Amino acid sequence: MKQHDIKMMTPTTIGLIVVMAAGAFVAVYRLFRGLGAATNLNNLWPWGFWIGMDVLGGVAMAAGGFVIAGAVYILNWKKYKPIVRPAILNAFFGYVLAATAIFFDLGQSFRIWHPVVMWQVNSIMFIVAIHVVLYTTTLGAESSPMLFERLRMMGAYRFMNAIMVPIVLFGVLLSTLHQSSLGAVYLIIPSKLSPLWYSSKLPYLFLVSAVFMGLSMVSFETILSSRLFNHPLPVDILRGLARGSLIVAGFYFILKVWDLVAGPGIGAAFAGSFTSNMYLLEMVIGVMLPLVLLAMPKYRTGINSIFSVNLLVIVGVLINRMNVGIFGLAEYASRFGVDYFPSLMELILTAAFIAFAFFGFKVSAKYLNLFPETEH
Amino acid sequence: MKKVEHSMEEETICGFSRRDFLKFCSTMAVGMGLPLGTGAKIAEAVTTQKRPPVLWLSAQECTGCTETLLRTNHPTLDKLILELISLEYHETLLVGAGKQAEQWREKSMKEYKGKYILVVDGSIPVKDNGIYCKIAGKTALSLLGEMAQDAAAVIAIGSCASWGGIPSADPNPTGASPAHEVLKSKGIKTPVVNIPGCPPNPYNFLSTVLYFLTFKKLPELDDQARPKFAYGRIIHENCERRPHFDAGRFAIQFGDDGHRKGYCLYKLGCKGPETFNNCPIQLFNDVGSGAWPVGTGHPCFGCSEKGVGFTLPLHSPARPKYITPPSLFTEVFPHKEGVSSGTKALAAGVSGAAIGAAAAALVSGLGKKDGDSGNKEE
Repeated sequence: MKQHDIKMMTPTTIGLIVVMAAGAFVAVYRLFRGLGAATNLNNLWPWGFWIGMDVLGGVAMAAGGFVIAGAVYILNWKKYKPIVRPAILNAFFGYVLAATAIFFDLGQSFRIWHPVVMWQVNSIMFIVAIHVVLYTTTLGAESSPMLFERLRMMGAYRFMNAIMVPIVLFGVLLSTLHQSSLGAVYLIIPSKLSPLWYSSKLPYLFLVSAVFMGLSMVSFETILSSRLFNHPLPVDILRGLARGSLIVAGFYFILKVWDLVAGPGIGAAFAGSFTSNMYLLEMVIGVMLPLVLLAMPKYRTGINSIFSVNLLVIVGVLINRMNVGIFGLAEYASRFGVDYFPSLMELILTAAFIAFAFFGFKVSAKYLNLFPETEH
Repeated sequence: MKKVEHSMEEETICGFSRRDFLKFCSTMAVGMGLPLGTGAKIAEAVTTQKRPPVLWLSAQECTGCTETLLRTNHPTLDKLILELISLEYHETLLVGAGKQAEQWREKSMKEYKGKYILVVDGSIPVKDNGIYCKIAGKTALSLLGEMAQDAAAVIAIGSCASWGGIPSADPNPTGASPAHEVLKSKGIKTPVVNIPGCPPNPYNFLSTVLYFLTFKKLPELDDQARPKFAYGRIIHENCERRPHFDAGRFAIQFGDDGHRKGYCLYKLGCKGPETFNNCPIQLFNDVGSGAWPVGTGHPCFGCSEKGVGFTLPLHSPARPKYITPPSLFTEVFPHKEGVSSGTKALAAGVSGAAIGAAAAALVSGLGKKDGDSGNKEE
């Protein structure tokens, strides 16, 4: 099989490798010296940037995998077949990185296997942990045909393809449960989380926003890799994804507003406080602007404008996750006089995770048959 | 019934009233973290046995460890040595002198062979065959070997006997060594307990002696042969000034505002974070709270910890064990409205990046027609 015409040693790639090396140093330092030495976390900020950004954000970014896989393998929407592989690979990277982030964020990192063996079925953390393990494995299985193809292990390739539908079914099931259970984790802190985000519907909000993010992420990535690796743009697919995004955006908007009205009331969003401003930022960038733009056919069909909207949605949902994971808890922690700003090491490791995702995707694009249907 | 109780109180045991005696035994038990009922066992051990013989050997020392024993109130030293234990030999407290004292030492060693407790204070000079410390013409080096050989247990009291202390400070001209090292080099296997401190808390010593009498074994020891009930935790963990450390309230100079308000002395070089001892809970001299170095406003200098006391500069910052001081401290006056500055800064950074990315996306994406970027389409 020919290697794709992608140059590896570009300045960008070297930059990515440098960031990853710095991240590796941080990882080793954290393992030997502990969380206290590597991060600015404390008793009132037990979870910080790594959870808010890497875990919650990373998992949400991975939602494209189950959305597209479900559409193609379960609903049999063949149109989206060409983007299944990149979408699943992206999800796999997202989950591997989220799992790695959890590993480094645990006080006792090497006990990460405990929930797999010692079941505490009454804990929401158990649900999250077991889903991460199962779904990451499933994603690995879903991505494996690409690797087998590359390694010319045709027996394994055919076997994996034969059992792909049940695997995907299982993956979709796990993923919906996992996306929503991440939201459910925050149900246990009603006194900490600002009512702008705390609600009994938090699991549903997490699931819907993850689907929203997933569609945008897949579309974003398809456009980006087409531009970077010079593939022809699958315009039809992108427009279809944009249409899907519009439907999800409308639903998500209604859900958010309903939640606000039924919860703290509309006035809470305009209180002018720190948290209300963060809420407005999230809503304007991540929900309202995309909704308005997608509602206009001109912008919903233009590739450049779809790309912009995708970026808005990704940024918006990331802010949502950081609002739930960090900023929504700020008033509670501040009341006790405790401050939090991520340490340099926390920022470096996060940067290294993102660099790893880009680098890994690039390597996969070069060596694996990532875009099978776009080659003619 | 009432009459019986009354007569019980009148009764004296070892010269104590019954009430005082049981109080003492229970206090000792609680001090070692043993259940309260153990007090009765200790009382039994102390009353039914012959008073345990104790021989006390002083080498290169300052008599501070003896002085610390003189400061005990429950029991007072006279009660201790005349009625609880049988102090056979102690250079400072002996009535006899010269040959008479030496004879008594030899007689006791013979009489109580394998049963007596040997207490050592002061370090043992080993350089030049130990000629730097002699008692009755014998070196402390040979005396320790001779006396430890037949002892049931050796209690090394004070930092000098436990790990070398002041005499072992650089350049250590006499080759001052702790008791357990000397015994090891001589191949003597008598168990050793170290009670370091300069001086150590007398109750840590008394508790160890009584534990040994009651249970016929030494209390649980750590890797440096120190009893865990006294040296199991660092001073920092039980320090009454610890909340100030956690909250980031430090005295910066002696006599400054923070120092006068009783803030944490970490920045004045307090070695509490790396010194294992129970000073903050056991206190000294039975005069009530605050009667220990940090309580009086002076940083701990780690007198009981090998490699800290008499080794590190007095005011150099400690190297905290187990805990790392946080880089962001809690505020002095909590319960404020709003959001603290670090989180605000993080939010500002995130919002700035988000708004920037969104604006760039809108400007570059919405203005352009699709053909502009030069992409091929299917």
